[in-house]
Amino acid sequence: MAPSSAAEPRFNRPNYLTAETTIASWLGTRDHKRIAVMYLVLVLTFFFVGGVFALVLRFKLLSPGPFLISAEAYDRMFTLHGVTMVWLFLIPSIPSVFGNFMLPLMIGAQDVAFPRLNLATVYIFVAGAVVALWGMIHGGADTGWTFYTPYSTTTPSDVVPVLLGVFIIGFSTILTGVNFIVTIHTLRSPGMTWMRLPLFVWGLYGTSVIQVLATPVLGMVLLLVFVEHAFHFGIFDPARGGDPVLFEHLFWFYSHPAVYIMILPPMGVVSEVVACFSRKNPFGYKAIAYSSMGIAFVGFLTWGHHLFVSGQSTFDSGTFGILSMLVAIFSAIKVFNWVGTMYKGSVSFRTPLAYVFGFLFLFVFGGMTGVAFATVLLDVPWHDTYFVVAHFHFIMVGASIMGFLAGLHYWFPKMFGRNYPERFGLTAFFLIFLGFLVTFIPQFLLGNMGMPRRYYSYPVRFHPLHVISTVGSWLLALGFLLVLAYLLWSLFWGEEAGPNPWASEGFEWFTPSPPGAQNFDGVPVFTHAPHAYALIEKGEVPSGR
Amino acid sequence: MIRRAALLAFALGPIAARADAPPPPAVAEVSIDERLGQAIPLDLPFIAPSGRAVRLGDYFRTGRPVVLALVYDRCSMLCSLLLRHLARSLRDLSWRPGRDYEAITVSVDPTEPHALAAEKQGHYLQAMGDPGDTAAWPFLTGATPAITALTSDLGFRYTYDAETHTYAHGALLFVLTPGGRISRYLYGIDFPSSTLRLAFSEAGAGRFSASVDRILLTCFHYDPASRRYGVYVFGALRAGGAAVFAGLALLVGVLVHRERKKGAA
Repeated sequence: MAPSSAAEPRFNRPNYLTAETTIASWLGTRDHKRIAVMYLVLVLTFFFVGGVFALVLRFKLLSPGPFLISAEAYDRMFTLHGVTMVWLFLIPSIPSVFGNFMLPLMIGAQDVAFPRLNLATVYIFVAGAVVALWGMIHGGADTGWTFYTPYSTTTPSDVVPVLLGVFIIGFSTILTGVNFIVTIHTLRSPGMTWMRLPLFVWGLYGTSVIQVLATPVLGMVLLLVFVEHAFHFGIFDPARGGDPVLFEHLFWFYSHPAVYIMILPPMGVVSEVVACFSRKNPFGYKAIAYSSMGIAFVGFLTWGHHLFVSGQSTFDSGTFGILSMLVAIFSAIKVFNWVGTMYKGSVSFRTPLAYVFGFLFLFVFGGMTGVAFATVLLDVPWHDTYFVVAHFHFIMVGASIMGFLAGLHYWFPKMFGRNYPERFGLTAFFLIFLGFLVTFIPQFLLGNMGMPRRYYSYPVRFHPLHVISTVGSWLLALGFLLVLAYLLWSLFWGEEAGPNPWASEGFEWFTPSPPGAQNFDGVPVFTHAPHAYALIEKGEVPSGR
Repeated sequence: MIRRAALLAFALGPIAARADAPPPPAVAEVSIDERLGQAIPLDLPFIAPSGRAVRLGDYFRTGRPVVLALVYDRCSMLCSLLLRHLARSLRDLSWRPGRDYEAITVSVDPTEPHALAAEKQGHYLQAMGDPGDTAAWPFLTGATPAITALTSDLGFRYTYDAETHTYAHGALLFVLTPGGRISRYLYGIDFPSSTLRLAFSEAGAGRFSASVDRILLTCFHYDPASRRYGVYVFGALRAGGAAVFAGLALLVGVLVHRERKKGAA
């Protein structure tokens, strides 16, 4: 596509942020970029709320006995931490924020396929969040984020609004998925063939397929729990003739693929960032793209590994175990290709890449413990211990949030036209990375020693490791607060970044930063794949910059 | 199966030994032979609590489904438990006996006088919250031939233990169509109102066709394994899942087809 003109100003004005400034112009906007910013504010708010819950939990665990909060409050707190982090932060985070912002820019579209629907998803999300939050304030559920029956259908706590809230949020997720699928199919500019799609877009496509296929099952199962809780039908409660294992099957049929809703988008971010900061085209482009689809497919066939101790047959458990290990193959393909991309590249260690390194380390660590968990013999003793907690936090926090932060730092200048102080960026990264390890490595050890998850009190021999874990949570919190502080500062007083501060050949950078309200003046034409640094150096294709 | 064995053991009370011991001979002969769809003889003579001679068919002329309990009025354990739960469920049901359905209790003990049946009836009508309406839920007694004919046609096999003067029998309800055919066997001692309501809807066939229950019945099904009306969850989810998958496949198919057409043009 045509390079932007040399006379372009450092800070693009007017842009999508300044084109209109009234509150109504924000609340009624159909601009995918503004919708992305609205989502960013929302998910960061919920991340803060969920983080506060986590800090309170960890602070309580400083003492083996009753301390700070009651056991009931503790049960509610870990439920709300899980519900907030999973449904209000992790699932919408990258697709709804960066997906919304970057997807049209990356494929040369003016907007997503259904801009009104896109705005509707924000309001559906907010409505669901309000219902869930009302439930949390009103009494709060104490079932854990998994809502296992029969407890969830008989608990005296106010589980119904939380279930309804999550149910409503599901519609937002499904509609975003449908919107992205249609956008990727129909709004690609001339020359943007499937094999020239940025890898982030491939990640979004795989994610959207899972969102559309899996989320309705969650909707149905939550509705059934609601019906059982409210009207006392015997669906899952054995005392009423129901089947609690049926709930586990249905819940994990959604919730295991949901892990891939959380991990495929950060994988897409990593693919973009690695290529940009290694000055190399992605090594094994097709392998990375197809492995996203592979994970999306195999992810639907692994749910039974959550039911190894729920009376599932040995044959079923073995089959689910092996299928689960297939995910590791697709993930490993990606990891090797990212490393291959960096190999002999001109690597510059900037904040986004630092988070990618964090991602790689924590994702491999979390992934390998996942393979261990897929082995039935190992899973049985570890089941429902802190080992599980540590494992999935390595994936959900370690990998997903590292990916989110990599994206946030990589695209911050794109979204807001300003840069952040690099020194603070790297300092915060080290704090978060270190804080993460100090928080969760002791939890692996605790789980291995037999500490069950979700317990309010614990034997004194676990005390030192719990104290270390809690100290780690403070480091993590400090790191996140630092990020919040310097990004907020940079938003107003940060150095003007110019259109493309990373000299990236990613297609989203070919528009001014921040982009105008209209993404492109004409219809862009693509002649090559993104991040084609080698070809540009050889002069075979023009640079987009 | 375990549940049924437990209930039988409970019914026998004094006879029942340890759970892991082989069942006593009396229990071994107790069982239910399900005869769904079979008609029961409606001309059998019985005695109403008032002492009036009646025929079973008198309660089947109304076009209403019938719920029938086989007990004996001297029974101090299982029968009273079953009837107490039934009375509570019928109380919770918005439908009334004698208006929307018929409820009948028949004693399997030919030696029981109708006065005792009347006394028991009063007790359970009170539990149901309608003590005055004695016609609503008759407690019938009868002679051996009528009892034997009825129980054998219902597939209800029970035995008498002379030593303890008790009957060993299963705990269940029979739901019959207005024409006197067996529609459902509802096992256990606790019958949720929703289960009864659906069983009546099913047995009443056309009578309740206008109500929501017909729709509900398509989502609920009778599970012979758990012997309850459960939501046909798997079926509904399979249908929903297949619909979503088909929808997405169709969407992607149409989009790819359009792209190809555009590419070819």
